[in-house]
Amino acid sequence: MADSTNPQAFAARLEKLAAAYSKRLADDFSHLTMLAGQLEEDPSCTQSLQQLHAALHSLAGSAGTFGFVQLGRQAREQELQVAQNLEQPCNDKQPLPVFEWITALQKALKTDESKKSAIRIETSRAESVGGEPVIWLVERDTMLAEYMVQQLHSFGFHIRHLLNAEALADDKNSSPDLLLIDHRASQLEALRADPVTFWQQHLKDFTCPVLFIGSEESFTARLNALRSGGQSYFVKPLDMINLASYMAQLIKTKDTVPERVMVVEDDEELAQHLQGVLEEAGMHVTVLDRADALFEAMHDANPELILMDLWLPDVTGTEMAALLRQVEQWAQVPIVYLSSHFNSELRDQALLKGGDAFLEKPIDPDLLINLCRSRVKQRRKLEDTQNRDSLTGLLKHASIKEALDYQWQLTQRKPQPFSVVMLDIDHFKAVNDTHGHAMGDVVIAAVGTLLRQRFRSTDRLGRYGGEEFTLVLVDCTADHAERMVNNLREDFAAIQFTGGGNPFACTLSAGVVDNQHFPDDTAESLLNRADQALYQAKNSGRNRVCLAID
Amino acid sequence: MDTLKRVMYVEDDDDIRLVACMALEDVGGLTVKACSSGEQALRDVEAFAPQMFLLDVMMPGMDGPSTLLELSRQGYITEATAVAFMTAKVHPEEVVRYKKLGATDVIAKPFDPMTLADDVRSIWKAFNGRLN
Repeated sequence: MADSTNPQAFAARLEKLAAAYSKRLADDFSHLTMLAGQLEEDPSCTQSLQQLHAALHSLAGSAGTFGFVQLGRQAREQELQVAQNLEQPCNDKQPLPVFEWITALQKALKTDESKKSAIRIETSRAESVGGEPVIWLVERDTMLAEYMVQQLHSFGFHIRHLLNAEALADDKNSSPDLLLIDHRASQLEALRADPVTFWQQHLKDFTCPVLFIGSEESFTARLNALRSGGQSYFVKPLDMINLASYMAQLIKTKDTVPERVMVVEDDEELAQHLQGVLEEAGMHVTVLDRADALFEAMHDANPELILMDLWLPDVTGTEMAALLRQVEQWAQVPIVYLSSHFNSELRDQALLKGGDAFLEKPIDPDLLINLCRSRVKQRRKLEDTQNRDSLTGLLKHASIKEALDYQWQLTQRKPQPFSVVMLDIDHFKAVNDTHGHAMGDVVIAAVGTLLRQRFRSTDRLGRYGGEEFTLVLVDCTADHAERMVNNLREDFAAIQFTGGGNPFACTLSAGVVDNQHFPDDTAESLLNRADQALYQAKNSGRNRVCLAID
Repeated sequence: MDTLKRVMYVEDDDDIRLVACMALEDVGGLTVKACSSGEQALRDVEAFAPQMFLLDVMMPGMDGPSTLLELSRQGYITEATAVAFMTAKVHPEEVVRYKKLGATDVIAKPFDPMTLADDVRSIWKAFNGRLN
């Protein structure tokens, strides 16, 4: 820094500029809102899309400099989506949820403002490529690395290969979502002398999970990996499916689905306060201020937890709870009462009628967040053991059908495209006969991992039975679904299974249908159409995806 | 190697231009000619005779790459002139593309005002190291 400059004065000037910038943001937001309006009228208007792209690009490039880091990042993500949308042919454009985006931007701005962050940007940023998690593989054996890159790519991981541990220090500007490291990935003497210190030193700047791989199956190798900061140690030859599944779980747990909470409260200010606190903690919150709209609101928001005011006009919270408990679908949703008139008799009565916990007003924000989080977590865990298939982690037969019914009912009230996919492993019986049932299970588990890796957390993925799978893809037309399933099919075909030493590959066939082409269909008949399309894919040679036709 | 003094900076966003100028002048002690468009840069380049250009990539009208092309067509980019693009897109492929266009390096947006001048100087150093 030049001697003539007083750093404090400089910082003060920067702060003034940042204040001026945040005023300008108001104009930027109204510009975005205007564009959102135009795009709602005509989602494929190229001119509006280009303007939107330019506006988001400018936000992405400038916000971080003034300390609005989240805002800049959010804008960057959206900018990429607009860029993708612009590349699509006109008749194939999906409308972009620009109004939702603006809300997200405003929320990010709020977060930034609340942090009152000093003016600087973060030096490391995950370099996710199109949303795919980025893995850095440190492996000296280039042949093995090439094979791993190809195999893991099939599972939807973007792999960057580094030749040795020294290369980890080369790129200071980006960071991976996960590190996969051969524990002998350097010829430096320091590694041989003291591997634990060596790796601790080389990994000190990384915050992501680390997995070690190596050819030694020994207690020392595992212990060293653990002490070096590794979450696990995988022995070569690597079981790629097992490894991919482990990696998928490690990465997935980082971006969990937001908890859906409904606040039933007629005090508008309190409701807004609760909503603010919970949204700040990353949850989705809906507020209901009228008791008589309860069932509709439940349908729309499908909450995982209800915060219920004990005293509403005309009806008590306990009565509301009792009503919910009468409907099977909602009988299990946890209810937490909010009350200022707190006494033990009332509490027992309320708990007896189907409440799960009490919170006394004024409500402690931390307690509120923790309580909501832990209740939803418990609930999800319970649901998972009841509804999920243990081999694949996908929904069981009954649950995927239920999910389809739910989606169908939702779109009856709020029109939105969704697709149903039936998917089946080709010649699966031959896999079982040739390689044994254990190997057959591996193939099924691989499909499960691949599906969970490839689709959004809002999509519903199920194992329909045996080697058959059902997907319900939300906000997705059949054309789009066909493309995605086709990519999945190609990736699956590239996965090498090694059964008893003989490597083999499997293929998939699939049938796809969406609700827009068949608006009069019931959920059941959509499923039948997807099944017929699957049958057609099988009949016309397998290893393909067919669309349902009239 | 000459010390870096004169930097021409082309950026359409007023707020960003202001903050970058402050960073380069006050923190870095550089002399900066700030332009709000490629067109303005072409008008002012003769008089200012910059040693280095900083160009925003995405601008309405003439964007960064076409400004660079026009500057070099008119002979303002010599062997001794360094050029850095500033952009929010720093995919490796893009960096390669910008370098093919004649850029010395790429500065990622959003930048940190406290370190921008250092970044510019180290690009200048690396550029001259390559020449020698």
